Parts: sequence; structure tokens; C-alpha cells
Amino acid sequence: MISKEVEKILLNVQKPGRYTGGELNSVIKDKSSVDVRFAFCFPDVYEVGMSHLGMKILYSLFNEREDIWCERVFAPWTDMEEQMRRHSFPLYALESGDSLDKFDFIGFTLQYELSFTNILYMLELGNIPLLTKDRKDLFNIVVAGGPCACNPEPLADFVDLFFIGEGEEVDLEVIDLYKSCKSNNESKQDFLIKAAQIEGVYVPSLYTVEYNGDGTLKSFTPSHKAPKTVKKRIIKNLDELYYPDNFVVPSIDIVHDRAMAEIFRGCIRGCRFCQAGFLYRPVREKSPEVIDAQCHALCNNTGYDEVSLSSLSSSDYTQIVPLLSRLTEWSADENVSISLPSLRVDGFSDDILSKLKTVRKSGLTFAPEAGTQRLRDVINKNVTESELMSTCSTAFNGGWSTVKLYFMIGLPTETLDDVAGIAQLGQRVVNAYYSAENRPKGKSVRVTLSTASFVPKPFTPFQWFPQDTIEVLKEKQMHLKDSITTKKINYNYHDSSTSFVEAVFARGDRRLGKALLKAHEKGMIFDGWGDYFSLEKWLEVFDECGLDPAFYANRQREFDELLPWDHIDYGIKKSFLIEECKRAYNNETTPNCRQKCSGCGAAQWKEGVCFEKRKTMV
Amino acid sequence: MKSVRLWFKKEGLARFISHLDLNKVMTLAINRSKIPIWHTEGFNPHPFITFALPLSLGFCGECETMDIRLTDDDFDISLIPERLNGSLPEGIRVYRAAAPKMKPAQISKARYEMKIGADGKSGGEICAEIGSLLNSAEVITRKKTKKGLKDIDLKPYIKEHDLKQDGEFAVLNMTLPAGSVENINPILYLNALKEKTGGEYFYICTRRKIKNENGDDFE
Repeated sequence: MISKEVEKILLNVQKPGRYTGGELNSVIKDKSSVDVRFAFCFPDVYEVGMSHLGMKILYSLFNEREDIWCERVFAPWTDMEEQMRRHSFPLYALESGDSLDKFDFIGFTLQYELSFTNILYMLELGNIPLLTKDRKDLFNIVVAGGPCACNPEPLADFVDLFFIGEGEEVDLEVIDLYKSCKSNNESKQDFLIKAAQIEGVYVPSLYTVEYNGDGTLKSFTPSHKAPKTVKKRIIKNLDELYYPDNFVVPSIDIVHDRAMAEIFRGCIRGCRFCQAGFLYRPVREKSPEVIDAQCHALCNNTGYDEVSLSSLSSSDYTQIVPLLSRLTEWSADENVSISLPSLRVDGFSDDILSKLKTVRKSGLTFAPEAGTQRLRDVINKNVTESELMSTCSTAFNGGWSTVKLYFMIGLPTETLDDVAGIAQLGQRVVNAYYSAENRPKGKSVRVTLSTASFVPKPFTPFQWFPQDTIEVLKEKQMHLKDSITTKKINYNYHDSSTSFVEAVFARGDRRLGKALLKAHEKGMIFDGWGDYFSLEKWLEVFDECGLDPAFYANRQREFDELLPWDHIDYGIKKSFLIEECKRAYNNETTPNCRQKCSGCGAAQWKEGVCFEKRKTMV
Repeated sequence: MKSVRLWFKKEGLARFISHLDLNKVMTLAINRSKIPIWHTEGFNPHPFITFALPLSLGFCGECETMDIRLTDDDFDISLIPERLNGSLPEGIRVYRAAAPKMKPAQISKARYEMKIGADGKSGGEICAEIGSLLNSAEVITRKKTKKGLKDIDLKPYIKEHDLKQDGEFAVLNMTLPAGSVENINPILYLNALKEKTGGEYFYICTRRKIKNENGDDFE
């Protein structure tokens, strides 16, 4: 419970419901009867953090254990920050109202690079010393996991240990180790040395880094018997994996306010820009019976009337039609609608369409990612223009009149013609509407083209690629804008300067810790939000730290360069990424995992799609 | 199909749930408790719920009401409070279900209790400040209307009120116009007080009664 003093200040802030706790299904335990208290911190506001499926899973998983109490902490918006500082209230967890410094573990989920400043912001507000070396006791252990943990180096000064890969098992192993070290009165250092022996745990303080004269990495040396490379953890059987039958139901409106079920992990496609497509290999599916039961239980226990089926590419789920059939057996009677995000252009069949239409009609969004076939081949987005056109026609004939198309600009080998190709593709979708016979009568079509700026990420075939400079990206945005000739097309684009800073941290090394610290001193927070991000301030930070951001974002790396994340092993061979990179520059595509194994290395886990029977083999 | 009026309390931390969000909280609770509620028949069917009188964000309420319609006429409405209470967040409790007797349009006034505190001031001192405010010839403050900000005099509205000290708080009880015709939010008195003294206050405001023109409780 939060204190009466905090209640007073809640009258002075926007959306006070963010800070109260007390939601249905939130877990309250007696703190004297648990051994380990875990503060699960999401470095963004409540509405964003509460929409995150991973947090829901781990929150329930931890709280299933009687000896652990997991609570939630979010980044307070600036009006609340001001009140907290004025009244000297530390950042607290929503369940107990206790400040962060009362917790055994302070765990952050790393969803995007621009949330890094919020990690320091939350630690400081919670009275936790920022630097690992300033936290001496076996208490207040700061841990982190999630996709951005794949290159943990920029956070190496602040985080005691990282979880690499899927967290469900390794998190609990580390908590158990902590319990035993605690009862044996061992030191924090002893605990960290032992933790480094657990597969999937990376303890940055056990490694020393040397640099070459040109600023590139020279060597990465483990000490205290820490492994030379840290291998990610995966869950082998998703059907047997714990999944919550209940979510905390927020009392205020949040971004994704619905029940969610995971249908599979990983992705067969191997789009070359997509980090998730490589990090989560191999594809492992859940069976329709299990998903159906989980969805039904969640709707019953939360009262949600919408279920979203979550995955990286829903139409690649081999059992999608049987699953939808099962779900629609009860969903219509119970007024529950099913939403299927991440549909691929080529996976949009009449069958799926009719199942989705039985409940609620949502917007249609597809991501061709590039405007021309050549460039789609470069990025291995194996979608053809005729597939897109036939999908749009199906949708228009089925009553839709708005389509959103997502693209990236700044992709490797991209020319201005490729950029203009995005506008031409949009125009052909408009034309497809007017040639669809059963289109909604008397309605005009709206096509929205959205472009994000490409950020090269670790563990992708483009990890060596120099990002386009902000100027070039802006020029491309303007070129696309000028290439659009109809008012039926809307164009919006993401700010390229945020993508630049994202690119710096995505492929950064340990030296960026200084920059984060400096940014924190300047009060920089919420960089993922347009209202607070400032390129000017970031350039100032890099300058004062003697760091060149272009070295990280805009430099072409050589294949033989030692990369800051080379000691992290996601099971994808570097040689495979190099081959993929070369194929990209030759406009060559790679078949997806179900068509042909391309030998990326993920087969070592002997699970999932790597051991499915391929159609071509049957 | 039958209409049911549900009475509930909204207290403690639940007072920070806004009116819009309350609608969502109630919808989910009703879905979860499997009460046979009538759904709208539009493009996006959803449970039909109406609230008689919205409550400001930050206020507690002791006799809030919402109306629903049941598709099953034989459903025992006395079961509803208990069923819903298992599905509601901390601070919201349904305590009564009955057939509605009045229309929401008949609401004309509400009784509020406002506990006012200030750092560094005793309840007695705050009482004195409020007393002096209410004894002025007029109590002017700005009120947001559809046509923008407007000065209003609160003095004529505060006929039934009493003021007493309760420890560090001053407690002001007052009956004010409420409903769709004329509505005076008690927070306006606090705003007037802030303007007069230049001080900072905190408050816990509770709506204790909702009444019709004759002073009968809204039933």
C-alpha cells in the first residue's frame, strides 16, 4: 500500500491512477514471510509497461513461488517526478509502496535502447547507487534482460548481471543461488562469480576490455572462470511452459488493454534487418489446444473481451486455421474478439479473413518494408508485389477501405528510386481499390504509408552496416513526400534523429556508460518520447565525453572486427551472418526455415522448426 | 429485459480512477462475473452501463450509482453485489441492487464532505481561514464553462453547510447543486480559498448523498 503522504501528492499529478496500485489481481504478500523481494522495473510509464507481455509472464511466474514476492515499478512521468523530489519521496513499488532500496533484486526489462536513460533515472529516484562498483553488499542486485540485453555493453557499468535469452528458467536459478549465498553469508562478488557459471548469465564486471588505437575492440578477457562466450537460454517445450491464467487488470486505460496469448516464439523468415528474427531462433510453436485453453482462462479471469494472438508473424503459425476455429467456437457467444497482429502480406487468406470478421473488424496493417522488389530481396523480405496486390484486393472486396503500409528507409544499397518506389506502390494499392468489384460503395480509400529509419542491430546480417546519416535520411523522407501525387495517400515518418541515437547505443561498447551517466546528470529522461528527446543535448553529451557517435552509428565495420557483443552467443553463427550479408549485397534471397534449412546454427537446440518435417521432404 | 440500479462506494486509492476508466473497470468486472448484462447492438457490441452522476477524479463517493439492463428477467439481482465485488479493484464495493425509482435527470443536489489540510497549519487555523472566506460578501472564483473561463460568485450556493475542526483537518460539509441542469463542484471553494490565502492545501472530498429537488435520496 502506498503511504498517505504519497496520496496527498497524487492530487497534483496527471493520471494519478498510474501510481496507486491496488488493481484487480495484483499480488500482495506478507513481506516478513518471503525470502526474496524482486522489483520488476519497466523503464517507461505505467501504460506502456503494463502492456508488456513478458512482464505479465514473469510477474506471475515469480509470484507462484511462496518465497518470492515480485512487485511492479514504472518510470514516473515528469509531473510526478517533480512532486516526488519536492517531497523527498523515493520511487516505490506499486504493491507494497516500499522504495527500491528495500528490494533484493531490481530487475529491468530492456525493450529499446532509448529507455536506457530511464534506468538511471529510476535507480536514482529509488535511492540505488547507479554504478555496480558502488553497490557493495549482497542486496539491491541490479539485473536486466530482454532483447536489448543482446548487446549489454553500454549498460555494463550499471547492471550487475544480465539474463541472455528467454528468462523463465534462468531467472529462478539466479534467485535460488542468491538465496543460498545469502544464507551462507557470502559476498556480492562470490555471488556474481557463481552466477556467471549459470548458462545464460552475463556478469560484465568479470570481463576486461582492451581497445585498439583506432577505437575498435582489441580483446575481451574473462576472469574468475567466467565463460569466454555467454550462451543464451531457450525454453524447449512451450506447451509445458508456465503461462499465467490471470493478468493484473489495470484500472486505467493502457496501450494494449487486452488478453494476450503467445502462439509461438521465433520466426522462420530471416528478414535481414530484423533482430528478433535471429535472437529468438529456432521457431517453437504452442499447440492450438493449449493456446485455446489459455485464452479462455484469461478472458474468464480478467473480463477482457479481446484476445490478441502474439508472435512475430501470426500467419506463419502452422495451425492458424484450426486455432481460429477453436477460438471462434466460444468467442462469439462470449462477445470476445480475436485480433491477429503481425500478419504477413502473403499470409492473408480468405479463410483467416472470414474467421476474423465474425467478431470485430480492426484496421489492416502490412509491412512490405521496402518499395521495390530488388530492395525487398536485399533485406530478404520475401513478399512480392503481386502478393501485396492480391491481399489488398481480398481486403477491399471484404469491405475494408483503409490500409496501413509500413516501410523502412535507409536500408543497405537503397537508392532514391527505391524510395520513390514506396510512393508508386502506394499508388498501385489505391488503384487496386478502385478495381475491386465488391469494394465498399461510396467510400474513398485511405492508404497510409509509414516509414521508420533503419537502425542496424547486433546479431543481424546488417550488423556491420553504416547507418545513413540524419541528413541523408531526411533527404529520403522529402523525396518520398514529393513522389506522392494523390491525396488518398497519407505519409508519416519517424524522426530520424532518434533513430541515430538508437543506432549509437544498439551497437555501442562499454565506453558509452560515460555518456549515459553524463546524460543522467543533465536530467535526460524519456528519450523514447518526442516531448523529451533532444538530439542537441545528446550531441553535447557525446562531445563532453570525448565520444564520436558516428563511430558507432555511421561507420562501416569490417567482418574481422571484434564486435562488442561477440562474447554473447545467441546460437547464430557469425559465419552465417557474414554469408547472409554477402547474399544481401548480391540481391540474393534465402529461403525460410520451413522451405530449407540454411544452417544458421539454431539447430543445436534440437527443437522446433529445425526438426519439423519440411513439405519438400515429405 | 429489466433495469437494475447498483449502488457502490468508491474510496481510498480508487478515487484516482477517472470516470472514463471507471466505465472500463465496471465493464470488465461485469464480463468476469458473468452477469447476463444486455450488450449494445451496434458495430462493436459492449455491455450497456450508465452512471447517474459522474464523480470528479480524486473524490470518494458513498452512494454512487450505475444502471445496467439484464437480458434474463429471472436473474436474482440480490446476487449481483457479491459477484461483482470479487472482480473489482481495491476501494470499489457494490452494496445494493434494486429497481430504479427515479430518473437521473431528477438529481438536483449533492451533499459533500471536504476534509482540508495544509502542511504547517492546524485544523483550527484552516477553519478560521474558511470561516472568513465564507463570511465575505462574495466568494469569487473562476469556473470553466463551455464558453471558457467565467467568474462566478459561490456565496449564493452555500446555504446548507457546517464547518468543524478534526485534528489537523478542517471539515466542511455542504450541499450544492448537482446534476445536468446546474452543477457546482466543491473544489471551487478550495480554489477560492487558495486564491484568497495564497496557501497550498490538500483534501479528501467525499460525496455522501445524492438527492432530488425535494431533498429525497436518489433511489
